[in-house]
Amino acid sequence: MEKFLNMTVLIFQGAGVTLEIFFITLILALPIGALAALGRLSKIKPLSLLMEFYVWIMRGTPLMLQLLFVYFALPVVGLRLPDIAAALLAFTLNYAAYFAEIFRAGLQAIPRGQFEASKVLGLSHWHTMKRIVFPQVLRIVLPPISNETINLVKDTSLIYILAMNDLLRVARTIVQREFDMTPFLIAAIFYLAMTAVLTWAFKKLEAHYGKYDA
Amino acid sequence: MKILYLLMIAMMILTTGCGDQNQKGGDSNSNAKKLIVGFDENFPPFGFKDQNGEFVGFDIDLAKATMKEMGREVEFKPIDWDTKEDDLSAGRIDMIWNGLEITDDREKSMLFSKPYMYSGFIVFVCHSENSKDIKNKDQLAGFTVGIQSGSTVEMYVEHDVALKSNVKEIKFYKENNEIFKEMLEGKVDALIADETYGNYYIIQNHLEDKIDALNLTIGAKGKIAIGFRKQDIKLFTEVQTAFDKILKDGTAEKISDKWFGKNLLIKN
Repeated sequence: MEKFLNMTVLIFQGAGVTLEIFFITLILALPIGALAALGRLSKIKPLSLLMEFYVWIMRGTPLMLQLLFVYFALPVVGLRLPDIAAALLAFTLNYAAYFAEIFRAGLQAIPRGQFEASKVLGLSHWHTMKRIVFPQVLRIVLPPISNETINLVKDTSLIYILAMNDLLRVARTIVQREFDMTPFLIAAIFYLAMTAVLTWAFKKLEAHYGKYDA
Repeated sequence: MKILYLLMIAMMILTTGCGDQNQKGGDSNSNAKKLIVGFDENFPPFGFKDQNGEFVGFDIDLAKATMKEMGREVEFKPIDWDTKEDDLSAGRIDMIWNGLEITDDREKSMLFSKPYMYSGFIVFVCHSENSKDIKNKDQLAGFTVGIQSGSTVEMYVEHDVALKSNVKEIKFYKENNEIFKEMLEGKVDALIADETYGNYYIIQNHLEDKIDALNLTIGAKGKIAIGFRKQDIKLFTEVQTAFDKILKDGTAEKISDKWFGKNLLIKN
């Protein structure tokens, strides 16, 4: 039992690294993704193309490759980021691309007629966005965002390749050292607990923003 | 859309800013800079985490003593053993000091120091009056020998006809410490294990009077050295000079004694 507790404490420390990557990535990637979506839908052609290219690169290559690229290849051309910054840069750019596509889908789901109607009613562009468009977009994008967010929790385990001691790497280390498989079980419970909290939180958010649904 | 441009510009400035800062530190020839030693933190006794979460180990101690001699600050950075060459060439570490064996493949991508230790498998037996007299494989006739399955030693034993025909039985175990326990209980007569690991196990468990490490090698011997970037000749020279000093003045010998109970360093 004491052994079990010791393992749990060690894995809990690893969960700290996992949560750090998770929260910072989420906080950075959501606004960048929203801006990238606006860029993608912009009438400025070069900007729109640039965003399309960005999304293509980020979705078209494995996150693992992007991590290795930022960590090992960028230093060769003179850009050596600290460990955590390198991981965050790769994660943020990757997740922002997925978020951008979700936001784009949300924005495009709003019928053009609503914009025209708002104009007729004399609402400014900003007012239309804030009062008419965004509340609807939010409701549409919440389920796919929730999906990606849960993915992010599990994707954080990829940083093991950078030898950063996240939840899964700590668990793996103990398994290797003690030839005992319990750490894997403990790690699974940690991941499940995190996704349970997220599922619950998104359910609340969906209920809140879906209150005008018929 | 202006916000987007501003944000992008801000990000570029931020990222390049960070890069510049690290660039200054990236010159391994500047004396002010901390030297970063890369190691696998799950490789006792060479380098590992103790109960307090501190990095300890034989190679950690050697590196510390050498850097002290050089008057340089040192940082120990755990790395993934699979990406060690990338860590080195990307400048994330300055050297690998971690029971690193010299191989032809590694020599293509790394600059090695002079080897300071041999790696290889030797025979361990329970101490008796004449246990120290065992000097060749023939004397293992009739012995039950324990080895770890799946390790390199299994391959050596498999190809060692002389050994296989002599001994009574070869028993396979999942882990080395299991074999040591079985030998103390008299269930096996001898065991073959990595020389460094075996000696470390004996010291750790205070078995100096109970188990003897024999001067009998099974299979090939490897050489252990420090690995540097190919082009870092200046750093290599500085480290080698300081390391030679602590090898000569007895500091290194004391470290070997602490971890292995004897001097396993190559005598120059």
